[in-house]
Amino acid sequence: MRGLLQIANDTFFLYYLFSNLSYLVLLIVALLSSRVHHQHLASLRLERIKASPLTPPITLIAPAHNEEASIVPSVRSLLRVDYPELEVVVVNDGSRDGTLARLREEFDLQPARMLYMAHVTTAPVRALYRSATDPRLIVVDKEAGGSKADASNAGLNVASSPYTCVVDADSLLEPDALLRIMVKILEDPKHVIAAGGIVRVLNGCELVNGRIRAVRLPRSPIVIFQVIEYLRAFLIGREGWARGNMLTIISGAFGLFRRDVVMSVGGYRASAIGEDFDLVARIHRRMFDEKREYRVVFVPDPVCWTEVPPTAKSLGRQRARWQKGLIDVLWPNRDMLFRKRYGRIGAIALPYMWIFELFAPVFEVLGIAAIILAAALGMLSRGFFLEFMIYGYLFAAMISVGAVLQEELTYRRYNDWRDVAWLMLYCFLEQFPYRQMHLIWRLQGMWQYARGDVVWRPMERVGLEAAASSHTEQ
Amino acid sequence: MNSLLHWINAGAASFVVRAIVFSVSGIVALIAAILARRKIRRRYFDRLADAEFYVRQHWDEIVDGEIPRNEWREVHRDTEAIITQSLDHMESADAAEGEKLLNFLRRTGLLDRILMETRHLRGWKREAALVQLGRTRAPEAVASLVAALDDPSPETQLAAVRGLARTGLRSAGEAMLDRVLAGDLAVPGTSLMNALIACTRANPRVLLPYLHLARGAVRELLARVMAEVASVALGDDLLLLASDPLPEVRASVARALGHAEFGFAFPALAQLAMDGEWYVRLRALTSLGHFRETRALPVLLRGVCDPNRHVRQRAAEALAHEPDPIGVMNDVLKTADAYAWQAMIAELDRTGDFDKMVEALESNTGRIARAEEQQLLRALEAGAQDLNTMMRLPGTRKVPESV
Repeated sequence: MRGLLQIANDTFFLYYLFSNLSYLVLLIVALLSSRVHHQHLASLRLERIKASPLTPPITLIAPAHNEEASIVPSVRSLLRVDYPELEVVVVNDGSRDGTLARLREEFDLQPARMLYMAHVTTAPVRALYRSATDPRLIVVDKEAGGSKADASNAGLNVASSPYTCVVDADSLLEPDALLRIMVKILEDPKHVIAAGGIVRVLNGCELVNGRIRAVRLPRSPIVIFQVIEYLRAFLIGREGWARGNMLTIISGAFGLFRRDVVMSVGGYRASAIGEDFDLVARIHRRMFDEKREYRVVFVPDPVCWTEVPPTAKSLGRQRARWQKGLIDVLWPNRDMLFRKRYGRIGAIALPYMWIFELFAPVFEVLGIAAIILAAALGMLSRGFFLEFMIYGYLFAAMISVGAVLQEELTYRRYNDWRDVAWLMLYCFLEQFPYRQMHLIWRLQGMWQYARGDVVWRPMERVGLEAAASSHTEQ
Repeated sequence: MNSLLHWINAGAASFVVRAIVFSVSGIVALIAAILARRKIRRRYFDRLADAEFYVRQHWDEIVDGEIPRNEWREVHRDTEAIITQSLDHMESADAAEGEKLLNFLRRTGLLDRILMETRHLRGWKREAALVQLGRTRAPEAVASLVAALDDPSPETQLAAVRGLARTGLRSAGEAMLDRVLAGDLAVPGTSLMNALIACTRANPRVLLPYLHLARGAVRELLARVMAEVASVALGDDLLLLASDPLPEVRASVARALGHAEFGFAFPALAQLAMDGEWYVRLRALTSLGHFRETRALPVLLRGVCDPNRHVRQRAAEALAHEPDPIGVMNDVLKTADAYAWQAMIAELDRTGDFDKMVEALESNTGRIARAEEQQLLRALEAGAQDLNTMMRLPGTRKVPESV
């Protein structure tokens, strides 16, 4: 028993060591690559991309399910995106609230004389509308398909551009976001098939007429923790993985894809819980199967602002869903693991997702159990245990502070020094009890998946204007 | 495995202590970096704002030499503010004003100072100086910028490319092209493209010899540059490039021909409209659409039946602007291609011309036979009332589409 426990403790120690080492490597890579990217940014002329006749059209697809509260400012912000050839397709996915009525009222929707060609099968489409005030806006009214993926597929069927960008209907894109995200694609249009931008937390920001006037840190601790998580995930995680061409997730809130590539893998999987991760995984698989040279890139400066769950309850549901989504994608793609034909994705990225993302809560719980057992058997060195806890706490705080530094060095969205001070403070508060709550939510997700509860459920929204502090100026 | 377990058990305690020290040091260093950066930036920008305010107040006296240069040359931030403002003014100045400002920089020794900085400074200071030097657009800047292209550091090369782009000079473009061809530049593609476009736009012919010599990825990059800058100034060379094996080059030709004489461009554009690559066809049809020439109609009608939806849309866009829309719609209906018909209806819907066309047909235009008008009206109404009925119109066919 004691021998077994000793091996278990050693394994957990090694696991923790590798996990921290990977975070450290990602932090260093991200800090170095952001310097290069920043220099590159300075050399860009967005107006040239805007004026170029060769800049390809983009269709923005915004699936909306019961988004009455936020749909109008959100669509306005999409139409205000600064891009030469833009089409906005809003998919009303069987909303039971007044989403369609709000759209009709605000944008003077008229029945569109378009043929709906279902290249990807979706729930039945009831009608297509085009705005009489802005013909770039098309609204697809369809029966509820039960998932964001199904709604996105309907949008893909209608999209008429070679590039499509699915955005959440509760998100705000910065006006130059598409021009910025296209930079990486125009650099290598043959090989770059998908690009992800950065998603930031909208809650707490100051909105005027559906535009962000001032970026502010929210006051709610649960939202500030998410701000830090987003900074860490995007400015360190995605930046680092993309550097090695091993990006496996492009956020569903803001990702640009070549339409033909998405269509070639059959669009989004309607039953997927994490449709964004699922799509990218299938694209990787297809590209490797066909032995095609390709790149999936991350661009850290085009920003999409999104509303995050404001309460522990809704956040818990979201995180459980993310965990279910993770299993839902990793399990069907397990045959990609350690197979030569799937290159770095099969050898590094997916194994990392399995070990350090999917099984992280399991390891954590087993680690806690092993500590308790060791203490019960009198095998626990209290001094070492205390030192180990301090190390764990400080290392995690260091990575979070690193994410805040990365933000400071690069994009500096939080200008007020008080916001930065709060962010730094919360880097130290994150470990207790937020981390433990997070652990429980993720375990709940795994439990729900094991029980067969795999139904996709949308997040409850308070609406953009309620999440941010909103004003209307004449 | 045993030795690993042994190491863990023996070394774990000391490792953890060292890791704690490392983490604490890391946190202190990161927080110090954040605070120091905030503090330094704030102080720097406060002082720079003061200096810029002073310079702005006395701008004319400084440029005209009424305030002797010795009064400001010794104050570092004043000099910096003057350089910045001179360069900002040059961006929007006309030729005469630009020349005056350049002479001011020469006369006061500021240009020499920037030149010296590009040679003697290192790291980000040198990179900033290189960009500043390019912004002066002084012909004497090119040599120093070109020298920096040979620096082993990719950051310095990028700064030199940015500087050369700002000059917009042909010699700057040629220097970059030489190195691109030799594979000596480690600069991101978009930055390089920007620079080459800026330096070759006035004279795209510069690109031709390099395009002929280049191979592989470099040729693709140059083709994309050509696609942006190609113009009728290339003359017969354009026609030669229309049969280039690289689709990017053919697409660039298709775009450039849109600005040429119709008679000169039409045969090549008609050929390119049947190209194997969809974006070449798309460019060719877009260019043909610019002419509003009835002779282009058969090609556009073929384009609206293209298997690629983007190409169909562009053709429909061009056809919708033809002077005889009813005649065009009738011709499209005669193609018996449901996708073509759909593309036209969608385009009329997008431009808001659908109802106008229905009204015109109802009031009997006389442009086509009455029977044909009635058939056209029915087809339009079928499209408007029940989209899927349109697919069942007698004679229409459904072809597989590629996108």
